[in-house]
Amino acid sequence: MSPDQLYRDLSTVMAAAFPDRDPPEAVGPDTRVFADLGMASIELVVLGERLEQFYGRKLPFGPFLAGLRSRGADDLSLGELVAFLQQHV
Amino acid sequence: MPTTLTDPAAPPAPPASGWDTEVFVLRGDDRADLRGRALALADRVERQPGVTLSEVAAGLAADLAPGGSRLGAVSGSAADLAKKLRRTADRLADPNCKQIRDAAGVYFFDQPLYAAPGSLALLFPGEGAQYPGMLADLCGVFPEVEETFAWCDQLAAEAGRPSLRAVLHPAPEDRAAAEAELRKLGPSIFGVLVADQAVIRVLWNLHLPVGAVAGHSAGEIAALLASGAMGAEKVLGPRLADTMDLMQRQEEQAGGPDVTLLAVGAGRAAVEEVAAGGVVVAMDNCPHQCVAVGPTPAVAAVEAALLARGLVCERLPFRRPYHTPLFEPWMGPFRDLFAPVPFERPHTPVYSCSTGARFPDDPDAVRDLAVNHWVSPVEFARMIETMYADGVRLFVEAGPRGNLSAFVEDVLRGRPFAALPANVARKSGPTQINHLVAQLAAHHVPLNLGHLYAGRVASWTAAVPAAATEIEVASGPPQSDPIRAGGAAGTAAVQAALADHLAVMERFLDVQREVMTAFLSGRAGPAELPPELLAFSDFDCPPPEPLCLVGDVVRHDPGREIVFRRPLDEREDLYADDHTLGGRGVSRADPGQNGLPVLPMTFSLEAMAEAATLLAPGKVVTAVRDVRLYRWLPFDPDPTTLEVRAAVTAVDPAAGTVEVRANVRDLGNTFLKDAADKPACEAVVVLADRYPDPPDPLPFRLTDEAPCRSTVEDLRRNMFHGPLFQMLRTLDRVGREGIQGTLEVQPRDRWFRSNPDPAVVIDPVLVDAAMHLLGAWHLEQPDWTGRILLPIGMKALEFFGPPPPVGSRCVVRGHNEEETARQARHGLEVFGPDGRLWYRLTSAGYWRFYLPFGHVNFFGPKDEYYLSRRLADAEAAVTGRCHFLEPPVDLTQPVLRAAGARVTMTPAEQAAFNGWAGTDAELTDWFFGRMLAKDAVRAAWAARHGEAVFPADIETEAVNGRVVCRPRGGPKAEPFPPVAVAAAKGKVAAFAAFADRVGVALVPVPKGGDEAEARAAAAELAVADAGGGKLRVRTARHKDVVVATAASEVDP
Repeated sequence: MSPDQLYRDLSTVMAAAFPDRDPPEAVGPDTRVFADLGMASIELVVLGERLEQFYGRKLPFGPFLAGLRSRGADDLSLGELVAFLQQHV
Repeated sequence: MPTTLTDPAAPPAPPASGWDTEVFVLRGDDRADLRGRALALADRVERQPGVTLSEVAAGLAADLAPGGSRLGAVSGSAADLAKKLRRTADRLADPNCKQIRDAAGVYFFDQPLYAAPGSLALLFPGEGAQYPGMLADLCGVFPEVEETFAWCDQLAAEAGRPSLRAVLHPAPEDRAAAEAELRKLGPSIFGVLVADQAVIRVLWNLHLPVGAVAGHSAGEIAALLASGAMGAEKVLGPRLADTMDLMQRQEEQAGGPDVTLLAVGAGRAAVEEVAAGGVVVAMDNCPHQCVAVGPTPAVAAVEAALLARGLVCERLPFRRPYHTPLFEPWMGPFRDLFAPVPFERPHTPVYSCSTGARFPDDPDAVRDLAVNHWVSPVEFARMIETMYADGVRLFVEAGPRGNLSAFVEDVLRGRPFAALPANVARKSGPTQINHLVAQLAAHHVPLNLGHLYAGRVASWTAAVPAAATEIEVASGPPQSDPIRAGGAAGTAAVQAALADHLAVMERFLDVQREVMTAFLSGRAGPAELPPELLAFSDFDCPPPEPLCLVGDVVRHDPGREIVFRRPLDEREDLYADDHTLGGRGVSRADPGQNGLPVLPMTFSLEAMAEAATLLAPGKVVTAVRDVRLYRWLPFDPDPTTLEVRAAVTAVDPAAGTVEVRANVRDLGNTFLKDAADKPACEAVVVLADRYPDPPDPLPFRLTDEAPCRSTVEDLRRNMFHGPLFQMLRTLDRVGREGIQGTLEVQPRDRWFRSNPDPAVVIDPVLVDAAMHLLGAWHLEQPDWTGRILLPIGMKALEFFGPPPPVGSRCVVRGHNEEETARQARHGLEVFGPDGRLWYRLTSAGYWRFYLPFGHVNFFGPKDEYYLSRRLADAEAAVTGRCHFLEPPVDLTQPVLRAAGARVTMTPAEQAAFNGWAGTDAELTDWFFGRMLAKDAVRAAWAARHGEAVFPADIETEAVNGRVVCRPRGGPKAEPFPPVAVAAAKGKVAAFAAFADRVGVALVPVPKGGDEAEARAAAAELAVADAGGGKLRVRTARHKDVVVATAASEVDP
């Protein structure tokens, strides 16, 4: 699946999961989930759950997040999220 | 501290700087009017780009009248503000837009949530909310915050103690030590109470109308104080501090039960479905987070079951079994503490996190519930539901971090509410206060906005009439009537209500002060080592031999703490070249080229053991426990700096033991530019006057016992360790439960370039080498899936004597404790030459990496193995080779990817890799594209010439948009064949053939799509890629893609 399609999917899923949030004006691969979108870590878990429902398959979100932690990442970019989805969708 | 209540004094002169943003609250009579005002303000700041934003914001605040249609915006520049306002105006023009909640800082609500004081509640966070540096940047903008923390300094100075503020606001180099200190019982609870107090003072000055309060875990103390239920400060204050000290000592000395706390990214039901062996849900925070607690092995089983379901789990870095019956051993002093406290009927409704309902009015019932909260599960989700049912719509988190707001978001998702943190770690303090104010104002909560500008905006005092500041206060229950400033009979009622409200708040602060004063005055610092334990202080004692990893001592408070640094330098640290992630001997052109050198975990342990030895000279290290590994410490081409920090945390003069908590980090490397705040490894080192007597060996009955099939050479080929670490001599017998072999202790003269006789505490190379036996156990297993193992932590390493002398032959037994899909857990015993147990490793956890082991021996010889797989059906030439790869996710992690680059790339390619200026995703594409090109070329070469070529001996470069491969280190019998590379859907294919022109294409086959169409498209693309003309073409389906290759000529 192309990155463009995945971004569109992500946008759809996020809008449905967090309908009372407005995305920033400019969103791209470097947009950070926590710092720019204002999400909390629990909401990332919610997002993972909704993405699984959207694609109808289990996604290894747990190891993905653990990997982020293990490399000391303090945020997650949409680009990284899309790359993860490219691997598993 | 504040002086008066009904007539608050002008605050002390605030600092001139510190506000990185301003909050702009606009009001219109209706939505259309609001839109017009937004556009007008945008015009104004655009016409006057040099306008002082604080003046603009203060002017808007001064003009703000109750009601209407409101907009809150947070911005730090005129241009940004104008942009936001224009975008907002566009949104407001859309009648379908019901609200705006933009994390960038724009808030509008068509249906504001504030209805009466009872609709707004404060939530107080407890332990877990603290973080080093919390609220530090508010000290410069709100005098009351600075006063609160300065008061910590003052109390500590008066008591002759280190200030708690030094822990709450540490210097950058002390941050990790502060984090460790803040995890302790006393500092964690009191640290949050200080922060809660600072925040509530800001909210108080904003005149927030509070209708109810509640707290999470330890935050319930703050809630009870705020509600007036606990008013006996004279009784409670000093004794609470004493009690915390007592509990802290209990914890440090006894250690408590061996329990683990596991945060789970799911609700209670998910845990309860798999819970067994005493694991219980201690905190039900929200549908996507709960905390399970239980005996460590049982928690491990629950964790494994949850991970297998794909749930997110994380072990918490402390072991106090709060909110379970297991906390009962701590409760004795706590019950004694509360027994004489005269509880009172709360003046503000307060909710219990034990029952999820309002606290009863009966004082004794309040006491029982409050005390037993510590052994009762936290029912935060249920409590929020109750508060919502009671009419609370706005939840303001009055403390650090913002965790509770996220919980509330999750509990109430889909319903009308707002959860607003006053502080979050990811935003500056002033900016988050502005976001809070913007949202409150947009929800029509009446506020004293003047507090944001008093003292710093010259026009504020003159420009703002008193009535312009909205005031609405409440200290009664939610159903009490609102009192609005500016109402017909407002003034007197407002003044009275305000006085009442402020009196309540002041009383709360007084109680907080009592408690804090007692705590800080009486708080014991880390125990100083008794003189009799300081053997080194004896002048007759010869000076100790310099330990091998101790470098420059940055700070040393003997008997308390030490910090030292040393370079991590490949030229000096020769052992690093024998510990290379990715493998060894990866080039014929440069036989010295190895993988990425990383600091062995055992060297981190040695460094911490050496630091501990310096703090307790004359003692021996008997154990290293609770080892946690967080990240790699790579060696860079240029030296980096290793820093070791250690502090004494417990002393038992009777037993002669000392415990030292230590951690290791580098101060930056290629992957992590500023790593000063990120420990790589931490542990507790235990020292004693002598080694303990060795216990009996663990049972070692092997089911299905057999002689090992693998040889030591097999093992070496499958590990990334060089000769220094190769101590295993035999692999003897293996069974389901473990494996036995022998090792021979090797000399230490080649660890360091400048030190041929290094002094060690635990012999890190021997400890590392012994663990290789565990690798051999995995090598014996029929299924190698997930058999790349890297350590993540260990429960304990126990030593029963000094390291065996060089040349000793030792029996080693590896125990298989537990194996899950993602982790393996092992134990190990090493017996000295006398047959007595020398060393025991317990519960060593390894992360399992899923690389395609069957096709590529990641750590093995790189000329014989391929990361990618051959697709023979897709090869359009007899001399051609087509290779295909779906890069393993583990290999896309930066450090493993860098290790991959070190073993497959030439120096020029590595320079390009290390200096990559594009995005991380582009680097991944580049790396795997080049790797596939090499795989195809060397496969074609091997087929034609019978010669295996290392990937690192092929130089690639881009020529006219195509990858061209050339031999490294001089020409070969003929040039390498041309190669083509294609990528799609995260997969990569490459085709090389001894032909004039080659092409390759990779086309996805849509679900339910026509494979024939995909084949035709792929063939067409491959021909185009090769430049067209007369070509031979072949296509092959592989999983969900079609791969096509094209070649102009075949030359068998």
